[in-house]
Amino acid sequence: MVSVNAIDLEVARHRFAAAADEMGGVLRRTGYSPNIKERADFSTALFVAHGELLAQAEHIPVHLGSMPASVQAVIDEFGRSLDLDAQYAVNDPYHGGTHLNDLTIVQPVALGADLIGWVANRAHHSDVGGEAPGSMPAHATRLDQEGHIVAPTLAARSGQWTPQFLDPFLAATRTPEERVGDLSAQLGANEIGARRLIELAEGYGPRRFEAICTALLDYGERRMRAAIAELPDGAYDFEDHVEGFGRLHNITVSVAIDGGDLHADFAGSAPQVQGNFNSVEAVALSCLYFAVRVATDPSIPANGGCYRPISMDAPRGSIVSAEPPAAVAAGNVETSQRIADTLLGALAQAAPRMVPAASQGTMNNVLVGADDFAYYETVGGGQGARCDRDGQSGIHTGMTNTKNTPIESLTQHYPLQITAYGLRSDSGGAGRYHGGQGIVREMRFLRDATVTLMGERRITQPWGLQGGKPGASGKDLLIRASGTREPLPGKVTLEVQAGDRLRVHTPGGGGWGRNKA
Amino acid sequence: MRDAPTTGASEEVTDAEEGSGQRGEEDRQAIRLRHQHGPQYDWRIGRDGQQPRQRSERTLGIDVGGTFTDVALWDGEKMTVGKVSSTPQDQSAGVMTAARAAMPADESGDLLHGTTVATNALLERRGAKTLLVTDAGFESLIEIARQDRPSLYDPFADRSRALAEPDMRLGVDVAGPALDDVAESVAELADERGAEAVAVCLMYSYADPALELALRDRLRQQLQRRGMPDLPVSASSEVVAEFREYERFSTTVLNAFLSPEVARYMRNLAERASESGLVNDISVMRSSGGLVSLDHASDFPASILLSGPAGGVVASAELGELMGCHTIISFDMGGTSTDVCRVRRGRPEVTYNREIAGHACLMPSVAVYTVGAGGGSIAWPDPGGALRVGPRSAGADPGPACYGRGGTEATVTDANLVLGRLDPSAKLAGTVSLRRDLAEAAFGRLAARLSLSTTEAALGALAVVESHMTHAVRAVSIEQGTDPRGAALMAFGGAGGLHASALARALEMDSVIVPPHAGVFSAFGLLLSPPRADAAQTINAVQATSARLPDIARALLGQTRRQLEHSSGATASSTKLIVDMRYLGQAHETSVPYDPAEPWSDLCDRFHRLHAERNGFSRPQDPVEAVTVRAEAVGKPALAWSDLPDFKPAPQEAWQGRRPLLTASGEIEADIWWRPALRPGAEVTGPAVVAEGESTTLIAAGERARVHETGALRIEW
Repeated sequence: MVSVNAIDLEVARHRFAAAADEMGGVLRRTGYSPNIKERADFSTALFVAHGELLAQAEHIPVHLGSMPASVQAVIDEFGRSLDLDAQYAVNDPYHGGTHLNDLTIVQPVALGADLIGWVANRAHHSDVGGEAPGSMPAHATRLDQEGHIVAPTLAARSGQWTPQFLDPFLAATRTPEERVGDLSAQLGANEIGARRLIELAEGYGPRRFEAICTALLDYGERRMRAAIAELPDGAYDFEDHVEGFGRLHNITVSVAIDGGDLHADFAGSAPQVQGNFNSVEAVALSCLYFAVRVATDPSIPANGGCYRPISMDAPRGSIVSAEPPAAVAAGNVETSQRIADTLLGALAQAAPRMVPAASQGTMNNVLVGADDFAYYETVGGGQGARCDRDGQSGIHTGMTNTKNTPIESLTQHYPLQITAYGLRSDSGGAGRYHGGQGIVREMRFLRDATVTLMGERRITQPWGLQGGKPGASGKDLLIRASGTREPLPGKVTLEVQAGDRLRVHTPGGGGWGRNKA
Repeated sequence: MRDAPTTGASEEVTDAEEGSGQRGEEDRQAIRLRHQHGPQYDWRIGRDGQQPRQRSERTLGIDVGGTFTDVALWDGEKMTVGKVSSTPQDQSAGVMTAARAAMPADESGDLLHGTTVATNALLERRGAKTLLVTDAGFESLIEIARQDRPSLYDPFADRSRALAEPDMRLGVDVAGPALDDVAESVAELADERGAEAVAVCLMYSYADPALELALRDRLRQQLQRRGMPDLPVSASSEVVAEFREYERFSTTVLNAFLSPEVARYMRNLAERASESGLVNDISVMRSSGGLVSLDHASDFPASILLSGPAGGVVASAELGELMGCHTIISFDMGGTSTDVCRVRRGRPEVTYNREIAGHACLMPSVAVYTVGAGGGSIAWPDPGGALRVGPRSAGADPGPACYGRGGTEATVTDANLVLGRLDPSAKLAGTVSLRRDLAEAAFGRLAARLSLSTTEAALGALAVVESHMTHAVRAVSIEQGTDPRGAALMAFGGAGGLHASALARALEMDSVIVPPHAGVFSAFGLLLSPPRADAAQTINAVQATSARLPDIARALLGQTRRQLEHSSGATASSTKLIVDMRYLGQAHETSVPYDPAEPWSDLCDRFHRLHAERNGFSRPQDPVEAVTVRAEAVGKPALAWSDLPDFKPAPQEAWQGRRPLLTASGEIEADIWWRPALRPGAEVTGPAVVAEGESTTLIAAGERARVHETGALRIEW
């Protein structure tokens, strides 16, 4: 029996976290597309041999639960005949992915002939083919309309891409050169992570390494159990809605807290839809992990152990756990926000001082492109008010945290002008503490282009708490060169002409507490 | 406290401590200044008749820290160092106390100054009520920043509040009505709202500053007319002519925000200095590791935010070269935080884009990475049963448990004392006795909660704090593409030498260097720092538009030369041009040295090579973009390390006996050495503790240290 004490734990935790961070540094430095370099839309992680998460760099919350799912998909598919010199790729949302843009590269790590763990990184590729630039066509109902599907595939061997992965991937995308650059960065990030994991295993020796990994996961579990146990036992129910194309679809949850265990049951949620705003199970799981971390102790390290006390039932074929071949692009970027809201609404009853009122609850995805370019941006909005202060304005909340693209940078690369970018006054919900303000962002097109908008909270509003008023809904407007103004639905793909302007108003956050008299 | 060597105070100190009764509080705070005419730190000119090459006969380097103000005086023959208490209400009081105590009677010299006045004003948000003037439609850009949140899971972690408040942001239409009308309305608002500084930030002004500068000039005229001629106005293209609007605006607002406070401080300092008759001329350390005039620092306070740590980094660079180490990681460990920085080939790593207290700042700065862990960091058990250290610190008050000032929590300093690494009979700052019993009691309580022995808990706290440090060193080396293997760790600050070799060995580094004057190394570094001027211009040129690059580069170079002459009265002894380049479509740049006489293709070749070196690949077929051109001009420093005479040891016994050290492999006897008495070439074999006035160095079993001719200790294993 190898003993692992309090000091070993803390030192090992730092070492694994440093390796995951270092992988992220490689991706950001060497990535090609603004999406990776400016917006940092990626995640990196290390796993133990049986697939539990060991450490994850803190990048994008929606990747939390779905990174382990990618590794599990590779283990399921290749575990019996694993090639230790290979890297595997997957973006299939039904096999551990989220939406097709997010391509995950998974690499087994071995000491000699023994598998000691895995490293993986996921990066958002701004175009993977499909029926609209940016690969999130608003009208899609089937996954194959959204782009090229990569089921778990042997993608590289000895650091060289295999033709069976690379050729169809590049054939599908509108921007193959950018893709090659981003793919090199992904390969390099994994190689660095693998090297660090091997160094650590060699330093500790194989038996001690294993004991330390086990102890670290157990430690995560103890921290999480202790944090959940501080919440009062009980069942907490909440319901919220996805708008889709104008009809409300309910997401219903009952969160049961029993000592150190937490279980979320989505029974009663709407069935999956003919549209792209279906969430896959891995995304719903990410939302659950996110919400629990917000409501408990945000400093608990993200590893597989801390997820052991958390479980979920999501009915198959529902909007929170869709089945193939349903389209899912907006499920990842939009429905995920609502699943998180629903869970936070339930947890707010158990932890009223930890959970803010609803934040904007959307990512306000804007995709602009033509045959030769693809520009993707998400726009921040209002944060929900907290129990002791106003919500922050113009900020990303919930399941994403990507940066904006600097205006002075994007106008050099794309035929666009940004004509306004500011806070949207009076959009935060009133209350003792006000919700944060949304954003107004207006762009003018210098060439004809295809635009896809994907936003939520265009009909419903981010809710307040303890009597606080809801935040304002978002709205979107196309101002034609002629001056006519066309209100747009929250989800649409349309053609625009040079001189037209698109104005996006993002939602404000909900208020907290009744107004002071 | 030890006898003669540490207390070897001169008459000046007695003077400073007792004062005339009239000098008051500030002089009584000169608690531990030592005029080191004694043998231990005595450098004399070794070459007969050769004059040192500094401009003034004497030069003072004075660096202000949170607790102490450090001073180093070079008089052309010898170095005098010491510490006085800092005076946080007005740093200039402590500066003058230090100057008076160090400078011989009836003498004067130039003052080179490292200050935290800008940093503190920012951290404590004591700056100007700042009016931001920008394009209509973009007023809140400063608040939205890059729209990301600081913590993914903690909804209570707020971004830093923008330094221009919502009611102090004015959108103007510069394409519309006459500029004079715009300027008039801005001046009116500035008056009405009581603005104390103005930041003019127009979109795209990095590329074409004409409109922004015209607006600034008209605004100054209007302010004059309204009787507000002294209101400082910062224009973004003048503060930093670089693209990325949020970062440029943020730097400009930062500059405006700090202007009045920093200018006030500089005026006070200049007045006190001139009254004292001790100081001829004052230069201020910038974040970039170069000195500028007091006036320039007042005009561009955003450029002195890292004035404090820069001196130690510069000194590390020079000592590293002298000792033949071309890659150095400087490691400055203090009470509450630790600064690390990479140095290559005698040049500190400089970054052009960083965040300070949550605000983007594009000023060139030594690429210091700071971790909030130091001697005062508190060790504690978390709910999952792990031993954590920091981020809470016992600070200077109550301080670690062993200070006996009421602190009961176990700190890193307590751990060092419990384990025998610190001398239990030593006195901190000459006054505070270290109480080993209190340190043991604190660790005993912590150990009981973790089911460990007291020794295990103390060793554990050090292992954990060293893992934080390891992370910091990795961040400035491995994560920047530099392998720490083959590099030396330059350890200074009060606690640097106690943790250096453990850290260096964990990262398989080559060796550790503990410089002479390790406790006041930043002040010493000021004497070695050159006057410097920087300029930058974003150009976004590709091959087809690269013809203008040489002219722009030469113009920038001319600008830095003139600025250097104007600001420091110095002529440039060296200049450098750098072009930030990227593959078209990338978003982050690589800095590439440039010669305006060379063709575009040579510059691109160098970029491909550097990109491959740093990132592991290059793509020579792809189009390349020159994003920003940077010029720098540096003059001669007051002192070069080679001007210093050889180190001479104190004529006393270096070996002080033995003391038990508690280690992971049990109790071992360590030799105790008095560092100032160790002669060049002497070797110390671990386990050993090498003590001196302000710092202590641990040499573990299996390590050996050799005294270099400069007095530096080099530890290898």
